[in-house]
Amino acid sequence: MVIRDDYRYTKDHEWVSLDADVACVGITDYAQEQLGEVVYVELPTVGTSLSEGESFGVVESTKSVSDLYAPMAGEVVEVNSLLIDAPENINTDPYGDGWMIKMRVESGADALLSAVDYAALTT
Amino acid sequence: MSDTLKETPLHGWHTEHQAIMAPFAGWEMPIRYSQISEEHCAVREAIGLFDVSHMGELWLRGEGALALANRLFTNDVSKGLPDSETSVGRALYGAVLNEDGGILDDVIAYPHSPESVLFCVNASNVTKIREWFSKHVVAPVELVDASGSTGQIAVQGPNAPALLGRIFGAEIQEMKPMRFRAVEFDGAACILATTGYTGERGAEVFVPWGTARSLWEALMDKGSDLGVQPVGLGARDTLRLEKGFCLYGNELNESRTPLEAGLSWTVKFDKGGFLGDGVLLKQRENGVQSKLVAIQMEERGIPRTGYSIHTSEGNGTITSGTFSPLLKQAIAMGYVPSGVNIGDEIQVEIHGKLRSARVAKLPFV
Repeated sequence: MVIRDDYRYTKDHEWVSLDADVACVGITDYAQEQLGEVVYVELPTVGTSLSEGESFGVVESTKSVSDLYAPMAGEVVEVNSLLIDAPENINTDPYGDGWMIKMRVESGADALLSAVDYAALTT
Repeated sequence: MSDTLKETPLHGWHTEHQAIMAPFAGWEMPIRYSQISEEHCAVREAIGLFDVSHMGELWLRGEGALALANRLFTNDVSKGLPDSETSVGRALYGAVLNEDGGILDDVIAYPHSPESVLFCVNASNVTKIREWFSKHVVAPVELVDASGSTGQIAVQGPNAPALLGRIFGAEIQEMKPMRFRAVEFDGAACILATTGYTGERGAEVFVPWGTARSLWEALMDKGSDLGVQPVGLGARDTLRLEKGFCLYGNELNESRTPLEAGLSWTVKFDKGGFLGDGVLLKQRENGVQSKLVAIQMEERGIPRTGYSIHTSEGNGTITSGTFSPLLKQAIAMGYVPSGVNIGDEIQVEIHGKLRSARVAKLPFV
């Protein structure tokens, strides 16, 4: 299982990659392993305003349905629409092609976990 | 919690082979060994082995066993007695009903003789059915619960007959679906039934607990060139749903009757009466209010158990839904008002939105 040092994390097994005030969000390698094959994803539209902890979509495997939660407050500025037809990218490349949304962060980045703290959550 | 879960005779094999295990009906069972879609396709294209030792085996034995079995079960057990020349009998699918016609369990009956009938019951219902049967058993018939000493392995897929032939003899390959006969493995008496829960050819083999692991290993070994692989309960569910087979607890429960569930073909009214037949006879005359249908999505989204269905005739509920590994499309079953027909446009509420779907024909594949 891979945990990238340069990313930050949430207790809900999502990762965040911050570039100035834009955060790229996906689910972790641990999360995709737990889910098994992802067969379906639902993502918000660009312009959606999210509060911290608000559900912004769902990720489904054959057997399970999991909500996705906004790791921070902000506005959705980009959505990985390729996932609609290729949800398996979440399994094969969770930290790369499996990214889900980019959001312009308004607040909440301070509460994110470091890679070390997140690793402790998954053991 | 895990120390209270029961383990099948193949539990050790599963964990040695890195299966992802989970609790199911009081047992710790393999959910998958690799990925669900891969295991699913192995069964459709080659062979899958399933450990179904958690299923219950209840025997009615003694003079009058067959008549009692027919009282307790909707199908006609007398139609399955083994042929005197070939010793091959018929396996009969049907339901055990309460007095109101509600389904206590869906089971397969194997009438070995007028004095000996085996019922294979769902793991989740073993205690309930054992208690129900024992309430109705009258001497000299006796009820024997062999669940703890009988393992069960399902061998399913287009290459399954070839593999079964290698283990149990070539004549096994000639058996039609829904038949059973006595076989032997390594000196142990087994029952081979050409039944299953995948819609593919193959068999379910009842094997003594202590012999189950060596039979499983022999099947894995002798089937390697035929593409055999172990398959967990995850794919077992997607496989049965593609064929529209009911799952107890989802499509079937005590407030549903076989007529509502589309199982009227398993109900034999002319055999001389059975427990629960009164309500069913009324339903046959007056019709049912709701019925089980197959549903195919036309918009994105996967219908799941409990989601609501909206139709021009009224509302209904999804009982099972998944993403079909073969069709690459969401499929489901659910109860709708009986005025709804195949081809009708309906809607399913998924994640707060109504989405278009259509009533489909079964099987999906």
